[in-house]
Amino acid sequence: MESNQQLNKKLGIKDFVLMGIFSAIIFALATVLMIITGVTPAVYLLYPAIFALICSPIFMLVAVKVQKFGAFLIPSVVMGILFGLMGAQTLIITLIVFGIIAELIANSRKYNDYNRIAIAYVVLMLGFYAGSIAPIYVFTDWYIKQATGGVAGTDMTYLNSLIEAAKSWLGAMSVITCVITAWLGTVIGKRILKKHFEKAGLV
Amino acid sequence: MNQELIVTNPSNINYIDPRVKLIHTLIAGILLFVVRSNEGVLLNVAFMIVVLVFLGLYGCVLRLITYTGVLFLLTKFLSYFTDGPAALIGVTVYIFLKFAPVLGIYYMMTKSISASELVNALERIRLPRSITITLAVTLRFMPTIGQEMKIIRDSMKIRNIPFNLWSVLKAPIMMMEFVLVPLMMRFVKVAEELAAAAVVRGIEKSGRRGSMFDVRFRKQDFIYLLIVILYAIFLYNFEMGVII
Repeated sequence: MESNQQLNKKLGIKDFVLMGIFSAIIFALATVLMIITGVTPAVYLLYPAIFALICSPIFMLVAVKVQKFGAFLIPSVVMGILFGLMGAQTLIITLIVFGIIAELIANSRKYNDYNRIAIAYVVLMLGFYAGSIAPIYVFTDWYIKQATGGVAGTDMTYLNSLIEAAKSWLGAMSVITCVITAWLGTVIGKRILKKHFEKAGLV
Repeated sequence: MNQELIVTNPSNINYIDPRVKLIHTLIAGILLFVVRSNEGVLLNVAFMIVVLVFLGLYGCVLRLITYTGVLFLLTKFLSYFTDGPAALIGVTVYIFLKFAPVLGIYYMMTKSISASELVNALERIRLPRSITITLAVTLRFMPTIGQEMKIIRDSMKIRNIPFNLWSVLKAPIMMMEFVLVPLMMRFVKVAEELAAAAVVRGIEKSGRRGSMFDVRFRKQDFIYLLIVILYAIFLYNFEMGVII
């Protein structure tokens, strides 16, 4: 903020406002998607994947418009704080940790390399995945413990097999889907930026 | 956070410093992982209800009670079926029941703290200016997104493009482009204007900023914090089976 010798290397107030507005869009999207996909855990496992697909143009636009240290980190920290206030404390930790990693990857070429930005975005979405899905596994474990302990003698094989499936291939699949959709999202995001924003002279 | 002015008077007995509420949120998040039994969840919700009554949010209390009650009855009902799809639904309902205290925290954080108070509190705990300014802008723009979406929806209707679940499922990428591009275009422009307006009002001034409210810790803040910590210790012992 204080204008030192390298004025254009530091984030200005314009960048903060831009990141703030786009964090608002991302947060609104995340909340709406959470309500829609929260119907069952099976669909909820795909929630980070859908989220990664939809919000990629927004992150790409922020990265391209700001092009300074912090373009990935600050929105992810702000989102982490907001999610933390709403009760998802796991998201604060994962979003900040993965946000720093994503920031370092994207900043290593000063936000000029498209591939680096794409990789950074995928890393950030993995952080989002870890933060939003982890509690489900914890609580499912407790549920099984309680159910087996409370109703003794009943047949739990069906439920156990279901949970096992969710833990093995469904869980692995949801991680892979998240990575694929995040990467696909960056491709689409790049296209949207080329098609609309470069033509309008906004980038 | 909603736009309408939340009337707060720091001299009221039930005005709790936002920083204390932040600590409470953190403690509640840890408690969420400590609680294992249904009784613990109900105790947790009961404590949240007491807190909300103390803060004077009676409508939220009613909603929280309804939410917890319905989910608890559903869990009890579904626990008689241990196989088939009923068990899967049971897991879902159980997870939602576990998160019932979070709903109380959500009401506390959004309905009793205004956006400016929150930003002020975060600035007081020495968060960097870059985060607090961004957060303030984010909170301010939450309601604007709804208005912009309405305008975009109207203009899509003019071009005979329905915006509903069916059309989204039919062409997801296309609908994403139709909605996101105008929204992003508009907000890039808004960001530039808002930045100019904020600079004119002296946001770039370095140093500590003042506040309209007298922000300091009072007697009730310490009592509140003490009660929350005592309650957390009690719940921990309750869950570990020390008490009862």
